[in-house]
Amino acid sequence: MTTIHGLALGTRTGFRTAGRGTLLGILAGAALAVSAMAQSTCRAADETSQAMLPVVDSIVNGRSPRHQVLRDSVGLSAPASPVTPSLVSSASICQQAGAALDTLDGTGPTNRTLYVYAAGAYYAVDDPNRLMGEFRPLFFYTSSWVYKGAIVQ
Amino acid sequence: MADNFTDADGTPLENHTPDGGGVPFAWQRPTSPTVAHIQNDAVGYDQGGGWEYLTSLDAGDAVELAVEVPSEPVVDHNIAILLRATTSGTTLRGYYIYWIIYGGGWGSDISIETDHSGLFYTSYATTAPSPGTHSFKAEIVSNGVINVYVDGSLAATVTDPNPIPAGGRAGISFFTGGTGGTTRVTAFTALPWCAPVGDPVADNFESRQLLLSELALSRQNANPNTGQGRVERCGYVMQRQSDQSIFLVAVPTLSATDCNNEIGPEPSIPGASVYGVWHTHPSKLGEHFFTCPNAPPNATADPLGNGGGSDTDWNSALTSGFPIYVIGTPGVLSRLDDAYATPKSARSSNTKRWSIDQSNASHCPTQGVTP
Repeated sequence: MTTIHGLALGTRTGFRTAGRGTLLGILAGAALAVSAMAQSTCRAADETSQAMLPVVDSIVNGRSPRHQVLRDSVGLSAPASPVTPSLVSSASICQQAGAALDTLDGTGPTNRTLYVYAAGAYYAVDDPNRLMGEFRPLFFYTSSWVYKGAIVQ
Repeated sequence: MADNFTDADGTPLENHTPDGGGVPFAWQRPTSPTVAHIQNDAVGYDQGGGWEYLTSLDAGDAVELAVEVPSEPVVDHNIAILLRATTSGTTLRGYYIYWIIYGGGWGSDISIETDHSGLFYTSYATTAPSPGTHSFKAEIVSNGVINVYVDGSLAATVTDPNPIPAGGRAGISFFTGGTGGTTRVTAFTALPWCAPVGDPVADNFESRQLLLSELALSRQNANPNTGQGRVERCGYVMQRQSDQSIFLVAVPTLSATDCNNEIGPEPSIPGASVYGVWHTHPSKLGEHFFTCPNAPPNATADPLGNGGGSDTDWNSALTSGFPIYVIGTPGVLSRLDDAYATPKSARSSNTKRWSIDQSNASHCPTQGVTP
């Protein structure tokens, strides 16, 4: 991205961190833990998800050398037969995706609203507010939330 | 394509292998009965009379000659650059752009003519060249304007209302108004021909050269394990108000990493205004980022994705009102226009993308990229 002088566009996104535990929260014990990591939510299908589904599809299923390079770069295995990516609407999966990004970023629990795509043995997670430089990475995880890597377009 | 005419004295020009350029070609004599011979690493007056030669390959729309004027000419010299030249039988057609150097100290003229459109233009009162070597250059810019330069100064500008279609050969025509004559051509340089793709940046040789150079300066070939020195570079696409031709300038970044940059203010160039903005994406497919802020572990680049730009680039195209040009590895130029910016799904269908050939000196653009 080029930030044009006089027409500057922000490239950074601040992270909202969860509030400190209150007495009530501390007393809640185990429930706090669940609550603290359960604040991220799913984004509904929209133009962005419609645009990203073919991208996830091509990365996971694509047979071109480019797609192989991308899979190799983050350690993804091509499925034996093509899988059909889908946008996840499960609140619990999106909560787990948010917690996984929190761990990766080293933040405390945060409130993220995420696009999560299920693609065979992998999840691809897109946080529109999570920029790196001018780019927005697409995070790949295994179905048990082992981080594989991020692909940046 | 270039030639310094380095060869043994007496070598017919058609037997000479042009030297000094990166694109191999030969000289052809489709119409002229006179054979030009190399003498002292130059071509000039030949006893047979006037002569004309064309390049064996199609050429681009600019030719520059080095013309040596050893002393004040005694006879008239008519030295022409040929552009967009084609032959049919013994008929040669194209633009003849003459530098007429009169004998006896009567100065010189620029004359531009072609029988294609009946264009005939002659300038007057051009001063006589001093003894020494001079640059004589002619170019056709994208909208059919012919510019002629002597020693880097604009000597004539003519617009052909019915321009010859792009393509064809370049060449040299040379004759004198009498026997003898000592003025000679010591060097020839022509832009190599590329089929136009319809974009003012992609179709501009100097722009392609600059973008590839900037990509190299961005350290696209940095060690992929360290990314040492890799950084985005940027600048402006400027447009001349006189003929709408474009040129690129590089400007320092206010800050930059291997995944972003902040461009400095646009340069103040009289007679030119900002047409667009360009920058590099130096990370290659599958390579990691090293200085990028907020980069997660094992983040790897896909420079061919998303229509050639990041979402932020596309937003810049929307909000700035300028086209955003991105040159990414491996030599893919993308133009981000607001027409493709929304919806997001349209970005991957961006057709304004060209592969820049890095294998030879022409750096020709080719429509599209390999997905």
